[in-house]
Amino acid sequence: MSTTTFDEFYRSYRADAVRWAAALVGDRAVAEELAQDSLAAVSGRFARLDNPGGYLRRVVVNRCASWHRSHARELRRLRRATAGEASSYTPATNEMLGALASLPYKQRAAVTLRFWADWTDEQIADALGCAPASVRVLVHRGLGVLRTELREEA
Amino acid sequence: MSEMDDDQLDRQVIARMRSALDELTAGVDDEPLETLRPTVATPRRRGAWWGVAAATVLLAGAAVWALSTRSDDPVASPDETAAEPPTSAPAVPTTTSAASVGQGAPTFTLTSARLVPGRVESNGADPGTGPLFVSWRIEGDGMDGFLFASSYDELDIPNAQSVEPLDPPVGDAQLVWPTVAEDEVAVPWIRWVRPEGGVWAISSQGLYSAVSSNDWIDLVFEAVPGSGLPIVIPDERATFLAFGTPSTTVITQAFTSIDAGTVDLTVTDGGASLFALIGATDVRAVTVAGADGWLGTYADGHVEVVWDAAGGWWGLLGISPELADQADDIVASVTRVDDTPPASTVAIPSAEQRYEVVGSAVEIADGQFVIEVPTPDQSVLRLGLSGFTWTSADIEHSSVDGFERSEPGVFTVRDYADGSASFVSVQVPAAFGDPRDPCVFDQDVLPFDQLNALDQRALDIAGYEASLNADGTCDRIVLFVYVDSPELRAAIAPFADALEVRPLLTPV
Repeated sequence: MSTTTFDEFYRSYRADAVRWAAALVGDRAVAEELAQDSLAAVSGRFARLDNPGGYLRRVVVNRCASWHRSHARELRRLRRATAGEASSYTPATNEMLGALASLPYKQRAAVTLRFWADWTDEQIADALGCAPASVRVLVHRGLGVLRTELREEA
Repeated sequence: MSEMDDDQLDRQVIARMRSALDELTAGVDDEPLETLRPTVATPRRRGAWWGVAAATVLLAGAAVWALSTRSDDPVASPDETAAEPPTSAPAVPTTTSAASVGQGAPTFTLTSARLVPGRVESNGADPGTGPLFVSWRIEGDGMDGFLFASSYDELDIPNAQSVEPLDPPVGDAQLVWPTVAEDEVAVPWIRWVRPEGGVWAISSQGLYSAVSSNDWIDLVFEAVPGSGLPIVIPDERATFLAFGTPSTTVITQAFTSIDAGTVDLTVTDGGASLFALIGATDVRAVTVAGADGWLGTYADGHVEVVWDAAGGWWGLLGISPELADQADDIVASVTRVDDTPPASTVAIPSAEQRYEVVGSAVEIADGQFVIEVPTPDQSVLRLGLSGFTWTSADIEHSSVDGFERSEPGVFTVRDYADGSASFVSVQVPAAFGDPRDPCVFDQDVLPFDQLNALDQRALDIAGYEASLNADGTCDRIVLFVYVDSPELRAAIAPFADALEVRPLLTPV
């Protein structure tokens, strides 16, 4: 059972939740919404959780997966209007965000959470509902796709 | 490319990814702590309209349609939340009632015995701001297609292989040829900076290649601002079809074919629904659940169908390439089931068509019991188990971080025929082996190349798993298939000694 209050937990994890969601959906505004939604889900069970941080990780990953499932087609449809979206990021960042968007969700989650958010394989596996060994396969495949794109650019 | 080159590229990729995600999330730590708030009623930042936030995820499996607020999530009004001080988390959590998302939306289902319904997800967002969308049908003078216009405050040209200046009657305009993926059709669009302010983006389907580009562009430049509609085309060849804002509600249910392929059934109030037809190589009129609609076929083989579901709602079907040749049958199977739980109208397999389902685990997700079945595209098909409780079957389970989950095993789902799939028994424990490292990197000893070269979809292959020997070799692979077949056995014959085949679906 957690000894911290939800208020303390919220202050400690809110920025991380936004970061994790941003890595998973590639959109800052959407990430903030999903992070809020995930923290709300944690708050409802907070008193009963032994590891609320682990629970938050899994909720964020699950909610981002749901968002991808239900909005992938919507995004493609809307982007057809202008074949893309205006962005204030640098070209290199836009290219990388585009490359990440081309990955299957689990590969994207494994690569970004492993090498950017510094989650362990076990934490990623728990959040994705798979074995740690599967995480390593997802990372290998995801990096392979990104590597191919980098080669093509070069 | 040598292994060293791959390592170097990996490091470059990781460094670039870190840099990009750092830029994406810059300043997160500096932002004031926001109060937890109802996500549907939250004011949204302009320009983020397509990022419709997931407000509430509903889970519905083969026999479940749940539109209810979770009992452990108290609901607070937006006003209550707004009154919270902006620098602290609230003492009482706030979420939005699921019942408020998609209220009044028509409900559809697919009555096909070979399509297994998956979870229903309903996501809502506030109306917010953002562009306005208008769609027209164009017919006459050799033109046969659609025009799609959207109106923005500002719009850059984000991704183009060429930009040609045009000569509009007012303002400035460019013809933009976008950069697209190899399996997509590049559809030009016109960026028209308006003298009264704002920017219009106008695209089309079936027009720019059906006649000379000048005819299409001339038609676009007839457009003028309207009083009721943001954009009007005063041309008798143009028939107005739809106008609206971005989606505030998106309700999607995925159906997975027991053969191969998926169908996504979506109901949305988004004004851009017809924009789905941009990029289609062919579009034809169809009737969907008694309403007018259009079916678009795309270069990558997938099919999208849009129809007017009345009352400001639009229906969309996304049909994967494997099922494209069955698109007309799928369209014919769309049935409106308002005020009736969709599970009761799902086609009921006969007793002969019941299946044993090998799932990786049973778990509680959002209050519903589900069994997970892996699919070839690395996603997971989640079948709802209504009426199931942990005590209804003798099954080991544990609670970790608030999630109750069973041990992996082989489970039998029966009584699907009455529309209430129920869990009966555990057959074989630990079907998925131990979690040791799969040796996909040991390319010298594994037939993974041969496996990857197989037509996995045609052979109903769901995936494979291997385990590492003490000496670092891997000599045995478990091949998961949906249905065992002579064709599969023939395909794997050259390396059958290294494989153990496990069917996931077995006719009972």
